[in-house]
Amino acid sequence: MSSERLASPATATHGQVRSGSRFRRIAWRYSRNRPAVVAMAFLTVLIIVAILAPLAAPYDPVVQDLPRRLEPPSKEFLLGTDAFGRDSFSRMIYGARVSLLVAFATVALIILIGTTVGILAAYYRLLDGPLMRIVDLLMAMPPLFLLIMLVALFGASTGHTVLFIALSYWRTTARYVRGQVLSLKHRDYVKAALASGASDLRIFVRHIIPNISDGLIVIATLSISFVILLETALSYLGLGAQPPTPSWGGMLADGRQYLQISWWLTVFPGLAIFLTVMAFNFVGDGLRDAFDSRSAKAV
Amino acid sequence: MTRFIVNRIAQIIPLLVLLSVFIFTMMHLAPGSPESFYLTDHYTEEQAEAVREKLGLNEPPVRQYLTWLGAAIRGDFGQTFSYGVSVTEVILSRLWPTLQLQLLALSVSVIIAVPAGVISALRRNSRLDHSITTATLFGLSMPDFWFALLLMLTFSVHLGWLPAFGTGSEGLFAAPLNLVMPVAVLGLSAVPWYARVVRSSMLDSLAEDYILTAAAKGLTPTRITIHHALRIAILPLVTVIGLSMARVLSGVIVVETIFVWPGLGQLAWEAVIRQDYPVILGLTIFTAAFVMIFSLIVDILYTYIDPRIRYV
Repeated sequence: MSSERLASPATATHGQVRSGSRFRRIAWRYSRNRPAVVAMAFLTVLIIVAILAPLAAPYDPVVQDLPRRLEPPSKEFLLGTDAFGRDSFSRMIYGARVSLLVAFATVALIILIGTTVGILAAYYRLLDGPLMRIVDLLMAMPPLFLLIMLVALFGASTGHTVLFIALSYWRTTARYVRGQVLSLKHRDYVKAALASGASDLRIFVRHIIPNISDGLIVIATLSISFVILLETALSYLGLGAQPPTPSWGGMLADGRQYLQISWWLTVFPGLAIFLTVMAFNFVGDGLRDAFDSRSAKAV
Repeated sequence: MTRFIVNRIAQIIPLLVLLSVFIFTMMHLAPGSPESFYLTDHYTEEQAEAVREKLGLNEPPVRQYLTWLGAAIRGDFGQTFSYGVSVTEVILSRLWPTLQLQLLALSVSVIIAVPAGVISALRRNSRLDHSITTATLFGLSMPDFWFALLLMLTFSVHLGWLPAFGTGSEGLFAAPLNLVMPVAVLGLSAVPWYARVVRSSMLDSLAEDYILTAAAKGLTPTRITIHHALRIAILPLVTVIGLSMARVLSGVIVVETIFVWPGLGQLAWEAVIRQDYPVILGLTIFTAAFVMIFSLIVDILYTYIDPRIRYV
């Protein structure tokens, strides 16, 4: 990992930051990882621009201007116009909203389902068998096929995209959580809590989840990049956000027809996906290296 | 060993039945109905009724399922709604184009990923190692359909070197030029995963005692790397390749759709869009069975690569 190289100076000067809180230690270590810092800055700007899309976009993303269709990038239209004369740059800004919103919502759901199933499977032996069989079943199912089938059968919409990606992909998180909890379950502090009469729920919330939260944060960050790739693939296939809502995958699909004359319709939306996904990957790797806990290293 | 294999096969069958129940339930819970695909815009209720009757959709769902299951056990997956042939025929006709793509892509991935991972591990923390790991991160972030489009833009549209669509041949084998781009996309997209696995398992393997023993015996570094370290380090890669066989279908859906490749991925896509229930069911069971049998083969392969592994 690129970060291994960066970890060594961090440990060499460890003494300087030992006094700070854990958060400050982690932030300091993270700040030593330059690609991760750049990626974090990029994502911050992207998120702000996406939230402020109506202010940031120079044009309305859905208003058509047919006489000005398929214009190459210029000062007026930074990234050119599409087949309906709509400004690509503005559409990309609005497209970021869709991709980011879907990604955050989906990952929240994945972590929720995965953690619940993982804890239940690890903690209650009776549930372990059936729950893990469901995971096996999902493993045997070709992932994108399941997703496409569900979306096509139940109809394409942003809500369905979130729901069905989450339902198809919680298994990795569940397996991770189960493994972690199995090893935590026999720790003395869990036994002590049990002996002092703590309820199962209290043990999960107070003793188990805090001990796997670092790992979950890393999984969540890396999952975001994975979900963005899936969401854009779905909208490329016409099964994501529906027109006229702009989405990066949908823009690529529209541009496909004009590959021969309008390269900008294919290059820029893809670049947006690529950079965003890469940024989340760098941040995820950076966090894993910055966290000093066992659960983060186990991801 | 035989008992192990028999046991594993016995576990596969209930899983497949469960899977078919799941898919069947999903199809019947879904709001859309497949007959609409086979009717013109202005249809009468009688026409709709006739289509439903013909497709066997008028039976109660449980009976529909049991009829399907009964036939499936005997190897008959029924007639397709929209292809005019049986499900087995349509799957078999699409199998070979996909296998051709996948086998070539797999070779490309392994040929690039294994040396990259081994070099990365041998020269750990060197500049080369960092370049390789950074490159894998780039690869992991690349949307495969965008990569496909960029290749098409460069090599088909601008340079005119490679054909953009189809297999380019009526015969058994696809035309070599038509294979280049789909194989490149599929092959390269797996390289980052495989290279990461090889790197980390090589690092583990190189730290083992038997490497020290081999070095003490005076073996050459090349021999140690290949015969001692890599032999064991390749095991996790075999696992990962086995698992990624689940993508034999899904990974190719997007790529085959873009390159208009007449394989299983495109079939899956068409079947879903046309709501061709028998094809969807058949494909699901077929791929799931394929994945499970493949993972069994992987487990058996283990015993040959690493003689320490035994199944009882």
